[in-house]
Parts: sequence; C-alpha cells; structure tokens
Amino acid sequence: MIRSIKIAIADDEEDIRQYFRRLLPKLGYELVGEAENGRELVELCQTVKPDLVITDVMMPEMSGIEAATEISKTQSVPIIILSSHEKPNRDTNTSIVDYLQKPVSIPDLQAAISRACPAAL
Amino acid sequence: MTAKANADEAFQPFADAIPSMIWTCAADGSATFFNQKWCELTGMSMKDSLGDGWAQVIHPDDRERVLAAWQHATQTPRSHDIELRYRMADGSYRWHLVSAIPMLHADGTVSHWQRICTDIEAQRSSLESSETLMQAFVDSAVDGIITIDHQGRIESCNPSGCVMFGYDESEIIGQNVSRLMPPSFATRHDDHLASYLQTGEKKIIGIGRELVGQRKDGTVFPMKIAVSEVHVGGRKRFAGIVHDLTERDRLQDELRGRQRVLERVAKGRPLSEVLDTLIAFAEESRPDMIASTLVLDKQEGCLRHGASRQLPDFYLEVIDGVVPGPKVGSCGTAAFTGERVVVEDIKTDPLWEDYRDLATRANLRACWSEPIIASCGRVVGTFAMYYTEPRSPDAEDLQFVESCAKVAAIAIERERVDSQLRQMAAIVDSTDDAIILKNLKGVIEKWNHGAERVYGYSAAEAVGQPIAMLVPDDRAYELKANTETIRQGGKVDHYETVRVTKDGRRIHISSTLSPVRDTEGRLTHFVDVQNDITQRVQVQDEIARERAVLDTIVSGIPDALLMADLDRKLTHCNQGAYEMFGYAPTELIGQPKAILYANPDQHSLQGMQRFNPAARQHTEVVEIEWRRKNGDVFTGETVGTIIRDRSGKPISYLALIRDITDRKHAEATIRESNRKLSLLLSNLPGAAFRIAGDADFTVEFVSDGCLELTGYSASELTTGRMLLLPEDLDEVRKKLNRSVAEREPFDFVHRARHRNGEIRRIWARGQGVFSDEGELIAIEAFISDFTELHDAREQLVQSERLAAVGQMISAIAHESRNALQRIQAGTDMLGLELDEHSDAHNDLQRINRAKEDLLHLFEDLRSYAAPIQLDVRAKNLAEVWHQAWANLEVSRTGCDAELLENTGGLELTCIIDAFRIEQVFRNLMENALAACSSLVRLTVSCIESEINGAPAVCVSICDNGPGLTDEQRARVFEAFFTTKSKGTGLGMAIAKRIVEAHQGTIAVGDARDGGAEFLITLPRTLS
Repeated sequence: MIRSIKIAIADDEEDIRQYFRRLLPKLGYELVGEAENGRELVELCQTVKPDLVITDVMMPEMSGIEAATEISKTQSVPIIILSSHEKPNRDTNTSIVDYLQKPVSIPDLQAAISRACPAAL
Repeated sequence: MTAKANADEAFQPFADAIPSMIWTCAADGSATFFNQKWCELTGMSMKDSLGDGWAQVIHPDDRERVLAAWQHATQTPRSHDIELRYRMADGSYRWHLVSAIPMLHADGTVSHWQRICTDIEAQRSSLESSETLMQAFVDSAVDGIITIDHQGRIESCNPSGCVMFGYDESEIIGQNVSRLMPPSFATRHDDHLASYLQTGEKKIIGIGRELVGQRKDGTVFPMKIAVSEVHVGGRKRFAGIVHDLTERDRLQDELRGRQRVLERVAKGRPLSEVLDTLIAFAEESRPDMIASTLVLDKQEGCLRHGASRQLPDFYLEVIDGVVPGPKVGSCGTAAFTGERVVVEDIKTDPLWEDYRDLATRANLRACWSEPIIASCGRVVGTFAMYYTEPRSPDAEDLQFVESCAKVAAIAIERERVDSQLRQMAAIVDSTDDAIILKNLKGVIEKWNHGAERVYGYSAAEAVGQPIAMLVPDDRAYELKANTETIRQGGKVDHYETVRVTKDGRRIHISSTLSPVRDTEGRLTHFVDVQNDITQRVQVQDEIARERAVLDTIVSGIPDALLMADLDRKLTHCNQGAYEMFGYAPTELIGQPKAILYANPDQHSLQGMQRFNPAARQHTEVVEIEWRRKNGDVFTGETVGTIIRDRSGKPISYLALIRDITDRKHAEATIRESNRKLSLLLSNLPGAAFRIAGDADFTVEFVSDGCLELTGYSASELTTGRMLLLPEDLDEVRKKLNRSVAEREPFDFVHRARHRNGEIRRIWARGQGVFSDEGELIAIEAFISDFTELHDAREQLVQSERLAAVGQMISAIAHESRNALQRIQAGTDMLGLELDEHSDAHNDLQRINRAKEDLLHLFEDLRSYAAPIQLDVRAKNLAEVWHQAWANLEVSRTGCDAELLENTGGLELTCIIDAFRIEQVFRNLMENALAACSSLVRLTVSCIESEINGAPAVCVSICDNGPGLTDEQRARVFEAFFTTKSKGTGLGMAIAKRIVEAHQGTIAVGDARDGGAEFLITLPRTLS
C-alpha cells in the first residue's frame, strides 16, 4: 500500500474531532494531528507537515480561513473547509481546494479528499 | 597913658570878640571902656558913653533904682547883679542882666569894675505873660478861687468866688474863711486848720472834699473844694478852688428821674405807666409846673391823651382827639409844625384862641410844648409844661422840656417797636414756614412754631442744639457752603435741599438764608426761613417722571407729532416727525404746516373742519396726502385736535400722523397672500381646520377639502367629534392634551368615519394657538387622508418585522447545520457498524431522512428569510429551466410528466443568478408536479416584454392541473401558505423574492385551459 494520506483536522467541537478520529482510519487515511482552533492548526502544520488539512471555519482565537491564509504562506498543503456557511463568493489567495457545507456525508467527504489528493491514490 | 588905660587897650580885642555888651568903669563908677557890641547894640559911640554917658540908655523907670543900687553896691568889693532895661539902637528897650565884677588891686581895693550885660528880654517877657495869664485864669475861672493865710484869713477871692458866695471882693478880703460855711462846718474848719498846722495830717489838702457852702444871704449850697498849700516867705498859705455843685445835683436829680423813666421803658412797662412816671418826675423837679404828654394816633391822625397828673378831666376830654393844625393851642401846633411852641400867656396868644376858655377854666396861663420826635424824624407826640401864671422859659427850662420830650420819644418809640415786634412775633409764630435763627457757630437760638411743625422738635428741644442735627450726612457740606456764600455777600434764596426731621424722615425744603448784622454791620446770626416743599417735590418728581415717560413715548413713537400755534405755524415736532418728513428741526419749527401738505385742498379743509376753534370737535381719523422734503408724497393716517387751556381757550393745534405707506403695501401683500392661501387650501388634498380646545372639538374653521375627506361640507362639519370613533375619542383627546400642555406640535394618525361609513385613516398635524397670557385659544391642524399611506406603512412594518424574523431563521438554520453534522457523523459511524439489512439499519435510514427533511426546512427558511446576494452573469433562461427539470428527475419518478417549450425563437439570455432562478423554476415545477394527479404537462412559453421601460423576457409556466382557487390566487405568494400536505409553504414566496431580487415580477396568469399559470418577467439586464 502506498503511503496513506496524512490528514490534520481542526474543529472546536470534540464530537466532530472524535468523528474524524474514528472515520479517517476506517477510510484508510492517517490522522496526524487535531487542533481546537486556527492558532493550534498553524502550529500543528509546522510540526507534522500533513498532506491535507480539513478545518472548520468558526473557531475561537483564529478562524479556519485565517489559519488557511497563514498556513499557505509557508506550505502548499491542500486545505478543505468544512463549514455550516455557504461557500463565500470571494476567492482567497490560499491553498483552499474545497468548501464542504455541513452536514457532510461520508461519500461527499471521500470525494473531496480524493479530489484534493489525487496522487495518493 | 595910665596903667589902667594900658590894660583897657590890651583887653579890648578880647572884649570885642565876646557877643555880649561889656563895659568897664572905674571905682568911682565913671565908665572907661565899652566894647564894640555895646556901640553896635545901643547905637552909642564909646565917647558918648564914657563917664556917665551910659546912663542915658537905661530905661527912665529903671535909672534911679539902678544908679542907687550901684551906688550902694560899689561900697563893697563884691560881685553883684542887677536887671535893667537898655535902650537899643532902634529905640526899643530890652531887659538885660548886668553882672558887675570887681577888679582888685593888690591891697584889695577896687581898681575898676567889669560889667557884663546879658540880654534877658525873652525870659522877662515870658514870665510877665505867664503872670498875666494866671491872673486872667483866676479872674475868669468859673470856680471860685480863694486864698487864705495860715490863720484862715481870706487874702484873695476871684470874681466867681464872690458871685458864688454873694459878697463883694472888698467885703470878704481879710475875713475868716469860716464865714463862707454854715456854722456847724465853720467851727470844725478852724479845728481842722489848727490840727493840720500842728500835725501835718491832711484832711482836705490835695484831696478835695464835698462840703456845704453858705452864701452871704444865709442860703446853703453843695460845693466841692480842693485846697493846695503854698509856702510864701516862710509862711504857709492855702489856695482853695470851690466848685458849686447845685447844678450838678439838680442834673443828677433829673438824671435819676430820667433813669426811672427809662428803667420802665427798658422793663417793657406799658407806655401809659412810662409816661406817667415821666410826668411825675417832671413835676417833682419843677413843683410849680403841670406836665402833660399827648401821643399821636397814627391811624386816626389825631393826638391822644398820653399822661397827666394834674390837668382836670374836662380839659383832657377836649384835648383827646385833637387834630394837629397850625393854630391848635401849643401842643396841636407843635405836633403840626414839629417845632417847639412857647406860649407865655394863653390869655393873649392867638394860637390858643379856640381853647382859651377851656384853659381859663382849667386855670392855665402859660404852656410850652415840645414836639416829641422819633429817631426817624417824625412827630409822635408832644410834651407840654403848663403854668398857672404867665411865664417865659429860661434856657434851663427849655433844656428841660426838650430832654423830657426826648425821654418821651424813647418811650413812645419803644412802644412802637414793641408793637412791631409783637406783630412780627405773631407773624413768625403764625407762619407755616420754619424760621430758625442760628448763630455763627451754627447753634440754634430761635425756633418758631413753624419749625416745630416741620421738624417735630419743640423749641425747647431745638434751641441750643447745632443746626447740623437737621442736615443729613450727604448734605453736610451745604451748611458751610451756604453760610460762606452769605459771608461773601452772596444770596441763598429758595435753595432747595433735604433735611431730616426728629422722627428721621427726609423732607424737602426750600431755604432762604439771610444775615443778621449788629448796628455796626457785623454779622451775628443767620435767619433760615424754610418752607416744607416735600409734597411739591413729590408732585414735581411725579410730574418729571410722567414727563419723562411722555417724552419717551413721544420721541419713541414712529408716528409724527406736530404741534402748531393758532396760525398753524409749527411750534413743536417729535423725532418721528423729522424722520417722517426728512426735515431738520430748524427747517420745520416756525414754518406753516402747509409745507407738509401735498394737497392744498386738504390743508384748507383741515383748517376748516379740524383746526378751527369755531368748528365742532373733529376726532375722526382721515387719510391725508403728505409731502416729504424730498418731494415724495405719502399717505398718512391723521388725527388732530385743538389743545385748550383750563378755561377752554384754544392755545395750539396737535396732529398725529402715521405713515401708512408700508401698511398699505402690507395690506396689498396680505390680500394677495390670502388669495393665494385660499387657492392653495381649496386645492389641498386634505383639509385645514381650526377647532376650539373643548370636549367636542367644536370646529371654528375648516377648509373646503373636508368634503372629500369626510363627506361633510365645511358648513356641515360642526365638531371634530362627529368624525371620531367613540373608542378612539379618549386616545385622540389625550394626544391633543399632551400637545397643548407641552406646547409641542402634534402629529398622529387616527381613524375617522367617512359620511359613507368607511373607516379612513386620517393624518393630523398641527398645534395649539395661545394668547400672550398663555391661554389656549384654539387648535389649528391640517388633516389628510392617510389610509393608503397607512397600509403601505403597515406593509413596511411587516416586512421589517419579517426581515428580523428572517435573520433569526437564518441564524437558526446555520447553527442547526453544526448539529446536523454531528447527527450525520453519528449515523455515518453507526451505518458503518450496522448490518445493512438489519432493522437497526432501517431505523438509521429513517433518522437520516428526518435529518434531510430538517435540513431542507432550514434551507427553505433561510432562502426565504436571509438576504439574497445574487451571483449574476449572462445565462440563457432555457438552460436554467432545463437544469431545474433535470434535477427534478427523482421527484418525477413514477410520474408521467412532460415539459413543452414554446420559446418562439426568442433570444432568452438574461443577466441572472442561474442558481437562484433555477430554484424558482424548480419550485414552480415541484408545485405543478404535486398538483397534478396523473399526466403532468408543463408548458413553458416566452414572449418579449418590458419592465419599467427596460427590455425584459416574460416566461409563462402553465400546468394542466385544476388551477388556482380565488383564495389561492390571492395568497399564493404568502409565506407559509400551502395547499400541500408536505412542504414549508415557502416555495412561491421564495420564488417571488428571487424574481423581485432580479427586479422582475412574478404573477398568477389566467390560463385558458384552466390550469395554473405563473408569469415570470425578468429584465434582460440589471440596472
């Protein structure tokens, strides 16, 4: 098996983080780190160098969008936004590759991950 | 030449140098030498003088004596002097003292005599004259001069002494001086004299005494005697000067008598008593005389009985009331002429012709009358001395009568002065003026009743106090200034100032200060006559105040005030007049009023009707054409009147002119403005009205617009209450009351019942109208029909409320996504765990479906409520509805449905948010699918259209279902309106929102075949 995709996630809700913690290994991905806010996510990315980032938007201290902007300055890691909001119209100069609106189904999530990391297949 | 001759020769130069006569004679007395002075003064040559030739120049009276004396003197060789007279060269004799000095031989015998002659003529003549003078004094002395020897024998007595004692000189020389005294004094005199000669104790010498003298006839008289002691030839002699005191004593008696009279005068005794005393004194001093005084009655011009002790009553009765004349006895004539009248015998004197019998009856024969003349020179009465025998007065009598008249004059004058003083005092005490006498130190000395009344101090309280107590502090400087003015000869006349009364009131007084001077013109006092003018000052102040107010009014009024004299020449104009007419004061005063009239006819008409004392009172206001200095003519509202004095006599004319040019202009403007206003009001879409602030809102005025608004005409609409719904009455009243109370305009909408029963919404705006006192007069307002506006507003409020609800729903929808995500996560995880065919898995599917429904509900709510943000681009509408139809494939499953298109080749590209428009089509298609039972046929057709003048595309979507009921048609776009058992009822509302967000419209159409038709019109481009 080719090296599994290393995914870092960020969400301020423990339920969601637990969901990813159980789901991602079942789907064959490697969860390399969890963050509870944007600030932690930025630091996490610098230490674990994930292949993909899935992040919530509305989080304390630093939002997912701000964290994505920050991460994009040093890394080219693809970022999937998982938000209860609709996809914003404006484009940002970041490596955000997808917006998923909550609630997201497993197939939708798998599709999005596949789109973001095709080389890993 | 003998030795003697030699000696003379040697002596000569010395002798010639001496300024006196010197000659030498031999022992036998024959002259041997004379000096040059002798020859010069006597005119005798030496040759003629030698021998006994010198004797020729001796005065014959002296020659025998001198020769004898020298004969005798030359017997002894001693110097001796003799006085003799020599005849001088001019023939006159001069006294000389000749000193003879013997020149002796060695044996002591006389060789010759030197005789030195000194001229003593001056001394001799002086002595002679003093002796002569003394004798003359003695002879002419008024006093008696008597000399006695040490034994008291009379040696000489001068003529006055002889007369005094009544002796001839020859009778008295050699008599003892005691003969000149009464016997009682005479014996004592001898004792005195002896005592003095023995003891030297002086009783009279050098002292002078009053003694009694006795005349030859035995009568005695008082005398004063002064004695001096003279030693002559070793014996004492005494010279006495005797002064007869008879006259003095008589004068003293008279003086005492006069003093008695004057004392009574001084004590202020009544005139009758004083004159009676005078009569008594006169008759005492002249026992044979009858005295009488008459006093002139100034008012009646006659003589009145003054005083008399001896004249009989019948005589006095006739005399009393006699009018002075040139022939009215002694007194009447004296009073008439002012001259003394001496009638020695009444029986013969013509002056007494008319009164002779009367006088005879009274046994009167002589009457000397002295007019009593006051210091002013006028006769005030007569003093008369009557005798029962004919008699002529001596000098002393005349002096006496004159002195009595003078005393009487003093008494009468005093009486007159007293009476004047009494009158003056009465005046001083009866006047209301305060009369205050103060001395130079400012101390009050006199204080009249008027002063008591004015100041409240009694005389006892005020006299002795400083005048300063009456002067307020702020006026203290006046006292000194005013007295200083008087001192420097100025006047302080009716000086108006302020004083303080006893009770502390400030009063206004007018003070006239006058100096009081003594007889030598020295200032001694000031008299301050003060008039209490407080009331007058108050009145004056009041007048001044009123005058000031009047002046202010007169000068302040913009109207012109003209005052003219009866010739209609201007005398006074106020500032308003100068400004109105453009003249300077000097250009107007004195000018005829005619220059101000623009129309001469009006001038003469005014002169006839108004400014004519003969015409009736004319007070109407008239409009007159006036002319300004610059020629402008203006209309002035004019009133005028005649000013009359108290008696009604016309004194001047007064005219008041108001320039009404501006007012006329304003009136025209107001008329125009009123016209415009009424025009405006009649065209207003509402009505203006004015109501009383009462319970019924009684209408005072309402504009014609009320008819349309309420259905009532202006005259029918009597109260506001008739329009109001009863249940609104309190609310409206509350609002109006609050507006009135807070003086704030009101602005509210209320319901009103139209005459036709419709409920209208009326928008009322207005405010209270208040009087100057703050009383509510009325309420003025403008009302307009607010029904439509109200509905629009209601909608606005509704949509605002919806927007708020929408935001809330949007937030709920958003937040629920997180929850849904967790449900999803849970079900996903469970799905992985559960057997796909187990019951538990089915349950999980039901949970998922419920979750999906909830998600859709939230999504619809959010679409409807959340603000729509369009992501527009050019898109062919057909593509959009194709997409929508394709997306409904799942819904169409098991359903026979077809989509018919009839686009007519129309270009269908519009600028749209394709995603949103697709939702519109989808919602419409879903409804159609839901409504139709079996075969569903949807027809989409398009036509070119326009919205608000912009090109648009109208898309019609028509189904073949049962169509819409009327209610459905009306409410199909309302939110939550649904006929379906499922669904949120938001589909059509969302569709409407999206279309309207594209500036398009969506409406229910009228499909020909009965199905439901919706017409969507979208502009091709967005503005």
